[in-house]
Amino acid sequence: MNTQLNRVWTAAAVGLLAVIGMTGAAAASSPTAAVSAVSGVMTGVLSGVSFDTPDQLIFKDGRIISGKVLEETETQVRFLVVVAGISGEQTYNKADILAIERGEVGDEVEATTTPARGGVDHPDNPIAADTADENAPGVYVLELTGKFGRDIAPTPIRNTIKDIAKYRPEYVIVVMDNTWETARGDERPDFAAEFDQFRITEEIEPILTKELPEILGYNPKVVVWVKTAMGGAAFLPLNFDTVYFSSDGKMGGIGNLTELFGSTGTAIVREKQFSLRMGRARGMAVRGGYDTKIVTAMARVGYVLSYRIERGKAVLVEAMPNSDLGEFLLTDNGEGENADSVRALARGEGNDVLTLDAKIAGILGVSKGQVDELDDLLYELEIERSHKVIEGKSKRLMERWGGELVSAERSLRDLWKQVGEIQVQGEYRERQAARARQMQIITKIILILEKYDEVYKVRLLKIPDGLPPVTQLEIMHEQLRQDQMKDRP
Amino acid sequence: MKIKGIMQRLTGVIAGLTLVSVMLLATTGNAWAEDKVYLKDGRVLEGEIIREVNGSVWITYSIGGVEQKGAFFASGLIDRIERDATGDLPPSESLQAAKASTTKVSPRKPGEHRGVVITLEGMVGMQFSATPLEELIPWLEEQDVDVVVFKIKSGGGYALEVPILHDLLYNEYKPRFRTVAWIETAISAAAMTSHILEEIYFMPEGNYGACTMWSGALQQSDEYSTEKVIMMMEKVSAKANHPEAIMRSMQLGYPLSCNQNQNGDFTWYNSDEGEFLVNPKDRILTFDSEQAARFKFSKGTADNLDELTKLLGYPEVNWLGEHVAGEIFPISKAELEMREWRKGITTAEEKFQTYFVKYNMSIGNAQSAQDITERGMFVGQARRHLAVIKRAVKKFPIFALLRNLTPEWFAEQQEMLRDLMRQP
Repeated sequence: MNTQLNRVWTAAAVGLLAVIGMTGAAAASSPTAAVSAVSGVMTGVLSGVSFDTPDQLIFKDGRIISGKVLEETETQVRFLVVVAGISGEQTYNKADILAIERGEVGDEVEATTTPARGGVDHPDNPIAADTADENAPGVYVLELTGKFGRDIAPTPIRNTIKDIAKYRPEYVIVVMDNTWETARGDERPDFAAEFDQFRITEEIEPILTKELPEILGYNPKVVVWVKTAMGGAAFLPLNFDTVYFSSDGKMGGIGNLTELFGSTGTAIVREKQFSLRMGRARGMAVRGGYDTKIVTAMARVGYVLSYRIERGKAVLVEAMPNSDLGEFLLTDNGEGENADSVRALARGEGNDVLTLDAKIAGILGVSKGQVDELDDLLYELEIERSHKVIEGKSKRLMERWGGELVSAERSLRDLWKQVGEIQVQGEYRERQAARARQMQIITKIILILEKYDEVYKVRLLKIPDGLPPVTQLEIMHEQLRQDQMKDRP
Repeated sequence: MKIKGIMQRLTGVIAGLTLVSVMLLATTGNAWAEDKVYLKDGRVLEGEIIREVNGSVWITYSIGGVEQKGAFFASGLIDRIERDATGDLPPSESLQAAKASTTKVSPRKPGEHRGVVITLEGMVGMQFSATPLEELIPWLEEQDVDVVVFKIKSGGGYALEVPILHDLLYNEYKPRFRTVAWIETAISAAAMTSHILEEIYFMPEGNYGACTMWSGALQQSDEYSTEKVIMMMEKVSAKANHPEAIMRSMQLGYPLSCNQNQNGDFTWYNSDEGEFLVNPKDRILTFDSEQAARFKFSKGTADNLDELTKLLGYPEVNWLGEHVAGEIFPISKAELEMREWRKGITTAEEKFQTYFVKYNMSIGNAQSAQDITERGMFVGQARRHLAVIKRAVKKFPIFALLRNLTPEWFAEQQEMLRDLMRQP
C-alpha cells in the first residue's frame, strides 16, 4: 500500500511540477514534497495525472468518481478527482458514499480482538462477567427440540453457533430431544424408521464439528445428551465421543435401510445404494469413536449381532450368541420365526434392528452414563463445583426459526389462494394490473420457498395443495410476462 | 385468467419442447445475461448486471423493448438478486480481494513446501468436473505449488467424465505436483476418479466405494458397458498401485478377502479364501476410514490440515490462501475459482429447463403473432433466451452433451428464427 501511495504521490507531484515548470528528482521522489504539491492543487485543475488502477468513489445516487483517495477520516474522504486526465482535489462526506473501491488491495489487517475462553471478556455476557470464579469453565446448553429437519435444521443451528462463539465456552452441551411423530402428530413407534434423514445430519454435523471449532480457534468439548434421538437425529450423537442418555432416552429409528427401495431395480444396484448409505453412516460412527457394527445393527435388517462382556467392556460378535461364552443377542436375522412379532414391536422389544436405550447404550459404550438433570450431567463431567452456565440466546434463536416457519406457511397459503382468486379480465389496464399482481405474488412465493429451502426440500414445510415447485412457478411467471406483452388495448 | 388455465397452457408448452419449428430474422450475437433484480416494490428487472457494489447494482434491462443501459438501483431498494449462471458477472469484492492476495508469487524460502487444498464436490461431470481443474494448472504452476490436495465430497455422477478426469489427474497434475486425495465422501464416480491417485488419505468420517454403474430406476448398466468400465478401472488400479480386487468388489458383488504377510503387506482375493473377510459375497464394498487404514488402502486418516501435513511427511507446509472463519483450510484463489464454478453450474442446472421453456414460449408467441412488430418483439426475446442457452452450453459443455445441443442445433434455431421474421 505504501508503495502504491508513493507511486501516486510521485505521479501527482510530477504532474504538478510539470505544470508549474519545476522538475527534479529530489522533489519527485519525496513523499513530503509530493503531498505539498498535491495540496497546492486543491482548487486548481491539472493535467498529466494518471494511475494504473485508480480508486473509485461510488455514491449512493449511482455516480462513480475515479481518482485517488488522499485521506480518509470517519466522516470524510479527501479525494484527488481525475476526469479525462484532468484532476482536482475534493472532499466528500462519507454519508453520501456507497463504497470506496481501492485501485490496489492493501496489506491492512483488520484489528481483531479475541475474548478469553469462558466468555469473561464478552460485554454481552453478564453472567460470565459477574461470576465469582472467572476461571470456571463456561457451559453453553443447546437444546435441539422439535421435528428433525424442520425445527432442528442447519440455519438455526448455524445462527446459534455464532451466539456460542460470543461466549467462548469450554463445554457445549447438545440436548437431543427430537419429536418422533407422524405427519398428523401421532407418536411414532420405535420400529418406524427414517434412515434417509441421515442427509440432514450430514448438513448439521459439520456446523458443530468443523465450523464451530474454526470460529472459536479451539475445540470446545461437545457433549450430547440423548433424550430422544430418533430417525435422522440418531446419527448426530454418533459423531461425538461424549454421549450421555437420560434414563428414558432412546436412539434409533433408522432400521429401514433395506426397505428404502422395495423391489425397484436390480438387486446389485439396491445393494450399492445400501452400501453407500452405510458407508456414510459408519463414517459418523468412526468419527465418534464407536464400533461401526452398532450402526449397522441399527440400520440393517438381517444383520446378526451379539455381545459379551470382557474386562468390563462389550465385545461385539457378528453371530448368534453363544451362551457358554456369556453372550447376549442384540439383533437376529429377522427371518421366518425370527421376524419381530407385533407383540414384540408393540412393547418396544423387537430385535430385527437395534434401538439403543439408556441401558444398552451404556453396555455398548455409546453412553457414558445416565443423567436426568443438568446438574447430574455437570457432575458426570466433573465440573459441578466450578462452572458457569451461559445464558445464551440458543433457545430464542431456535424458537424464532420455528415461528418463522409457521409464518412462512401461513403466507404461502394466503398468497397461493390470492393467485387463484385474481381474475385477468376487464379493460386493458385492469388486465395488465391483474397479471402484474399475479406475478408479484408468485415472486413472493418463490422467495419464501427459496428462503426455507432446507425444510422445503425434505418435505417438512407445509405447503398449500396444488402449489407447484419453484421451477414451475418461474415458468408461470414467464408465461404471465409474455401474456402482458401480447395483450393490447 | 385463472391459475388453472395457466398451468394447463404451461403443460402444453413444456410438452412441446422438442417440437419447435419456427424461423427468424438475422440476428447479431447478443450477449445477454438473464440476471434478475427483485425490487422491494415488487418489480422484477431482468437483464444484465454490469456492476455491483455493496449490494447496489447497475443493470442494463429492457422495458417494452426499450433498453435501459446501466440503470442504478441502491441496495436499499433491492429485495434480492438472482444471477444468471452463464454470464461473466463482476466478481464480488471479497473474491477480488482474495484473488488479489494470492496472485503474487513470493520468493520461496529455503525448505519451504507450498500446498493448496481444492475441494471437489457435487456431481461428477457437473460440479466436479475436469474443465475448471484444467484451468487451474497455470495458476498452480505460477504459485510454485508442490502439493495439491483434492478434498473430495461427492456422491458420484456421470461415468463419462471419469476417464477425462483420470487423464487430467494422471497426465497433467501428477507430473507437475504431488497430487493427493483427501476423502470425506467418495462414492461411485467420485471414488473411481480418486482411484487414479496413489496417495489417498481419509477424514475420520471418510467413505469410499459403491461403484456399481446404473441408470434409470436402479437398473444395472448393460453387461458390455459394465465390462468396459471394469477394464478401465483395472488399468487405473494398476497405474495407481491399488489391488484390482478392491475396485472389483466396489463395482460388483464380489467377495473380498486378504492375507497379511510378515512385512505387513496384503494379498487380495475376490473370494473368501483370505484370512480377513473385507466384503461378503453379493455385497458392494464401501470403505470407511478404519478399514481403509487397516488394509493400507489409505495412507492414513487426518481430521485437519495439521494432521494431513504430518501424514504427508512435511514438518510444515505453506498452505496458500486466506484463513476464513468456519473453514478448515486456507481458501486459495484456486479454491475460490472452484467454488465459483460449482455455484455457476448449479444455478445453470437448476435454470436450464426454465431457459428452454422461456425460449419455446417466445417462439410460440412469435408464431401466433399476426402483427410483424409484435412478432419481432417475441423473436427478439427468443433470440435472447437462445443466447442464454448458448452461453450456458459454452461455459458448461456438459449440457450440450446431455441434451444433444450440437452447433447444428443452434444453427437450425437461428435459421428458424430468421425464417419467422421473413414471413409476411
